[in-house]
Amino acid sequence: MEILTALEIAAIIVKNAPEALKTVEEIYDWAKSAYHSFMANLNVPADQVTVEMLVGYLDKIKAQSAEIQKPD
Amino acid sequence: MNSYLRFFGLGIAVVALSGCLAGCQTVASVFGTEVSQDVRQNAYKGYLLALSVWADGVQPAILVYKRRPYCAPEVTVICRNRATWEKIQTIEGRTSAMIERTRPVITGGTTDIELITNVAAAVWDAKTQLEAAKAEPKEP
Repeated sequence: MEILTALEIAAIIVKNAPEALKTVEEIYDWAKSAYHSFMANLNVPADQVTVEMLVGYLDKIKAQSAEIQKPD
Repeated sequence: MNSYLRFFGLGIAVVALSGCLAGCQTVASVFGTEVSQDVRQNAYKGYLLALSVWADGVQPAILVYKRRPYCAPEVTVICRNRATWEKIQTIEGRTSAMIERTRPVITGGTTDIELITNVAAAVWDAKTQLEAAKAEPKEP
């Protein structure tokens, strides 16, 4: 796996922040959340990935998708 | 408007998905033979990163976009293009449904681990399609 430093990853996340996030606080919160989630998962040793972690993500994706697909 | 969805170029996806794809190829190369616990755990790790990119990066950003009002003559700056939004919904729905179909691999409904090795590629394809939808010319 290509390894980037934490700083490089953080810079990429901030650079790609949605322009819809107009305030510094919004961008900071979004980037911080995305960064911490991704780094936390990146640092999990493969042998410590559990079924519960994966099912939790599947449930989150399902719930967020329902919200996205809900008619306006 | 045309750059609202710039986040779909989310650079971390490159890192996560390249790592996953490498792991997935390893799994695919041994698929059909005995899949060891180590190989399975490596596949789970790649799967976790792909799920993280989708659930923590892409979907929340789509939800941010959804909160914007539709573009109209009096709303032209921070707004949502209706045609683009419909494409985004289609791509998101298709990708999330594909991901959901991999649930039995985790919950024991099937031992076909190859299903989860396809998730990274699906997320990558969705990212490419979302970028294309973003780049299409918009009606004024």
